[in-house]
Amino acid sequence: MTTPMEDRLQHALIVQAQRVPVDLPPPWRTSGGHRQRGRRLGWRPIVAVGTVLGLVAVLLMVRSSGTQPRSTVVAGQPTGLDAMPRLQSIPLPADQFPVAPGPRPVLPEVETVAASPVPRASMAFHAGRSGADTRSSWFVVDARTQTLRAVADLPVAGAGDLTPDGTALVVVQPLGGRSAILITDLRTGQTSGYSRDATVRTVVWSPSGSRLAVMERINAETLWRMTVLERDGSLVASAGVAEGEQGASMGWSPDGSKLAMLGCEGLGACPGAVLDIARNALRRTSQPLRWIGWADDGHLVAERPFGGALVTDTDGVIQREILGDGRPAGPRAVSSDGKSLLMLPSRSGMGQPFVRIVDLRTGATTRELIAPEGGVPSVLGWRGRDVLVVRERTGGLEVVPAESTVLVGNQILVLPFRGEGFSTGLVLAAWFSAGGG
Amino acid sequence: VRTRAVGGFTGFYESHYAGTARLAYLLTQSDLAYEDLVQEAFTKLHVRFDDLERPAAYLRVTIVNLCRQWHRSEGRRARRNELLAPIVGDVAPDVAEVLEAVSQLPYRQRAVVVLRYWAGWSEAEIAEALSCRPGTVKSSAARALSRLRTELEA
Repeated sequence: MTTPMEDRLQHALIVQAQRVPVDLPPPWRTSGGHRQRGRRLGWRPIVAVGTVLGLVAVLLMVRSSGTQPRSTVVAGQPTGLDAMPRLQSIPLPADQFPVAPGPRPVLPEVETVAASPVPRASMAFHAGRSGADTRSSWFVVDARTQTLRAVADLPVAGAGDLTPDGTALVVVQPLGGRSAILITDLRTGQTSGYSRDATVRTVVWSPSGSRLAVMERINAETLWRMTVLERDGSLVASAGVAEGEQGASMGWSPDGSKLAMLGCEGLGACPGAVLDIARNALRRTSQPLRWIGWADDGHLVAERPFGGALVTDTDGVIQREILGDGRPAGPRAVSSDGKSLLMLPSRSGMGQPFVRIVDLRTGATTRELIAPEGGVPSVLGWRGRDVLVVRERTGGLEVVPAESTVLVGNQILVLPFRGEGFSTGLVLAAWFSAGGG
Repeated sequence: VRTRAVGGFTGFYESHYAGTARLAYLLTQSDLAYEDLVQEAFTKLHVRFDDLERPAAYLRVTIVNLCRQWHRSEGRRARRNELLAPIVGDVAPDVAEVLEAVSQLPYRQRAVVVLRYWAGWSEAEIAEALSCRPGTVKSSAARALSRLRTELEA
């Protein structure tokens, strides 16, 4: 239990953290930003001038000797830099996009099957390429056969989601100040889409698969908007969210009538918001939260800033505490029947020694799945009565019956991308589940 | 709520910038320093990004260490006081009182307080970031709370 002084301390830190102006991070600069460059030049200008002088001298020597420099570009064979697509310059019609190139095998052992829906509770993820290749390959782990197959190879993708019935994949393609929302029909392999004059950050299918929830920032506006679109792109509802909230995570209520949003991700806590779609009304929770989800009875499941988990109404008013002892906790997924909550003992992202399953009605810990070899940095969710976790040591995905007590290495997939030309750093972060089993 | 898909370092940067900036601000309480420290942390991460199994963990440890180095480099007390953010101002007086008390804590105690009560890290994770034992984290937290209690209840 926390003391009043600890509560006061925590409240003050949350208030102070919310004052940091981080609505839009500054553009990433690989050299660390203009401040750093200006402040820490030191001896670097001397080295730079020396290098330039040296290169000029070498060039003069090469010219005088009559030989051609090795770096001469052969006609018709552009350099890797020239081959990089420049997204801003791609001519795109205003409201229609060409069909994306058909999927093709990207790894010898991965079967490419596009014209086939994936079973419910399959998972999709994308792996960005490394180097100059800016395409993003989308894969599905088939829940029935537990095999990995490629389903789409798209130019570049940020967020994405599978419909709960596994028949369509939506991805967001950033286009400078605009975004393309591309929907690939997994039954036909065809991709279509439409543009939004906005920067779309997150996209999530509704439970029925008929609507899309997007978090976007309209051009020339400073605030982000939580917007609901029909599948064809027509507007259903939209509401601005507070400054500093970028909709890091969104979740549909089980009946698809409401949309919950939590603005912050990673460290810290922030107020959540619930959009009533029929009334186009946004209501903010009365207290800052760190994770937000839905129980089957329409109540929100939330993580308290100081640890523990709560069940609240849509105003954030606490209905019951299901883990209220102040222990660090990382609730991550409500089971498909709305009765259980899958949690990590900590939300830090570091490998945890066990995974906890909590009864949402009683708040009791019903089971802890021990990870004897290697930690569990994240849990992905439920698939029927199975839980899905990521294993730290192998980067593999493990499916474990909820009745188990030990994570025994029952991995259905060890990501095969390392050393294959993919950027591996974020492959695991791109996982998300479709359906709930 | 589903995990948001992200792509490449830029996506990681965008999704982790806010939390990292807030943590750096709470650890330094300096309007002038926290942005540079965050950029420096991401720069260090960028160099090793493709080789890291846990880039988020690397980022956390890096930003905590950079904030500690910043405090050490600010040896001159007067200079540091000049850089302190105006934590009073538009915050409520009771909040400002707590923040002022936190700002007077030694760096390790302040870091323990922020990482435990704001970031929600476990003792083991705080110990890893601060390069100390979990027992040291526990004792630092106890000392920090005792000191805050004395300050705030005086």
